[in-house]
Amino acid sequence: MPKRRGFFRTPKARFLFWLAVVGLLAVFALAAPLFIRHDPLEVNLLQVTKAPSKEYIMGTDYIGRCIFCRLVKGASRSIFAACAVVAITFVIGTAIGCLCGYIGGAFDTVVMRFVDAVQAFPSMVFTISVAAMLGSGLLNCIIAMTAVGWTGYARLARSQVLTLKEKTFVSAARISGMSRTAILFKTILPNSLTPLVVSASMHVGSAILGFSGLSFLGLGTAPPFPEWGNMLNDGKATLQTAPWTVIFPGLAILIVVMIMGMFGDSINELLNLKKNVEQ
Amino acid sequence: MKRYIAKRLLWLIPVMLMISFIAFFLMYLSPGDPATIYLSQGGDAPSAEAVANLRQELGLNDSMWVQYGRWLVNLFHGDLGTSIYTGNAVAHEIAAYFPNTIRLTLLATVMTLLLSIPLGIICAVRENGILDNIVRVINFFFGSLPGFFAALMLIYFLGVKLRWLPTVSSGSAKGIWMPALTLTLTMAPAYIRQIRAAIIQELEENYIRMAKARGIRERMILYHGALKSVLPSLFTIIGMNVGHLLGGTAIIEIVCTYQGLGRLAVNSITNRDYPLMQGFVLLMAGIYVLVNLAVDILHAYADPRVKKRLIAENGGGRRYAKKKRIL
Repeated sequence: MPKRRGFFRTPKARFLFWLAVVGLLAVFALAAPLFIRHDPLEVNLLQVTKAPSKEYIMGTDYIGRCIFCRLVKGASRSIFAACAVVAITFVIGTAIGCLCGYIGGAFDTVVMRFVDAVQAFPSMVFTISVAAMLGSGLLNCIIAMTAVGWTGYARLARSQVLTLKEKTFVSAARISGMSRTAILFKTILPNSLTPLVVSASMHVGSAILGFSGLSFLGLGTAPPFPEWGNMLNDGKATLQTAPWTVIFPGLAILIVVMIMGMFGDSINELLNLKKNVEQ
Repeated sequence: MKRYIAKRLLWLIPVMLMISFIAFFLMYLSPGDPATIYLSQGGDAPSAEAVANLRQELGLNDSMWVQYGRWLVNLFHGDLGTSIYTGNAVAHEIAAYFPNTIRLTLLATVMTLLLSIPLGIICAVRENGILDNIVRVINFFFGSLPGFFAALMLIYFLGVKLRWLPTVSSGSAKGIWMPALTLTLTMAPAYIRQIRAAIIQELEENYIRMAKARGIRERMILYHGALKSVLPSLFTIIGMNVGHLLGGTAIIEIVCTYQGLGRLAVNSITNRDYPLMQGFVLLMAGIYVLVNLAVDILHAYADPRVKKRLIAENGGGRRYAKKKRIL
């Protein structure tokens, strides 16, 4: 890593900075109704595909809806759905993976073979097909992405538990008479979390991408409710005459994914640094 | 080595069965009665009697396992069922679009490799140099770019503004370049990062240090040592990214109006054409599994170290066994 100066010198400072950026983003998404001047669903046929102006700072789409308002309104849905997917997959995957690693035996074999089978599908193809079978809708998208996403965490958690199980501090806990559940929750789980948290933080960006992909294909929230993916899909037809209908939602996805990527990197750096110091 | 390949091939059987079961189960669970969907195509609501008759005829009243068994037997005969929307055989529909998708994915992979191998090598050799840092930033940018947004931007700039390429990919020879270019741009970051990491790792190996200590020129070490031994891991890198490629093409084919399988599949979602969707999922999973198998075996053949390890793990291979005894 090149040497950095000033505030960005320490990983902790970098982490806090990106945490603040992500926090701001969340506040922005939640406080959306406060800065929008138009109803994001309001159709205005006199203002169809108007270029960005003072009144409509990002222009209007093919039926005269304010793009900025839709973007801000759609932010909460697009970002929080992705966060929900990451949170749910993280919890389910970790729980199942820990159990597999800790209990072992037939349960482990059956579950891991199932994980193998799910991972034998290209993930986006599987997500699209699950979402297609369930029908469009925000909740169905979350279910479809969860159905695929948990397998990665399960595998990672399982391998963590398997290595930790052999460590001396776990044997010590067992000898001192801790119950099996207590050993799992008090010694193994806290020690296995670091790589899982790192992988979850890296996952947020790709979840936003996957989610906007589903929504782009029309599998997300039903129109007219805005979501970044379906805004791009709406803009596709007017790309030639009104490129702003595509550029702004696309940039919004790009910027948020980049911020999440930076945030994930800073968490990675922070947690791995801690581990190196301990060793 | 033969033993390893045999093991992997045998392992394919349960994996394929699991895949087929999941693909079947997805369709089995899907809402809506296929008989009703099929009969309502004309627009009128079908009579209860007609639906019941068709259900009987299609065997929809049997238990799930019986239906799965029948479907599997048909599958072995190459019969993927009939498209609800067009009424043609699913296998036939897929065969019509498949060559286009193969052409697109191969072209995109070749272009990605042509771009990312040199860049990956330069970035690894001059680690943290100017170019490495520039490439890292660009990589981060393109890695965060949604494929469909990249496609729309390319259509706007190359198609609408510069008029170099047609905006609609179907029906022209130059049409393939737009989706191929998009796929290249979105796949290259992962390839560059992985190739760079593989070379950096290789450069830290003991034999490289040894060669340096003996005073062999850097360039010699690079061309005859590091790069030569890292190239086989390209197979692994391709295998790691093929899943992304298969999923990514589906969306990009839609944006670029390219007549490929992905477009067919996504259209089948809108038409609620489950058999077609199922055929697509099955085919993609099959390709994914087979490509990964082929890639692992090729990697072993191209890199003696991997081959040796696999033989040690799986037994067999007289040549290596003998050597071990002498040592």
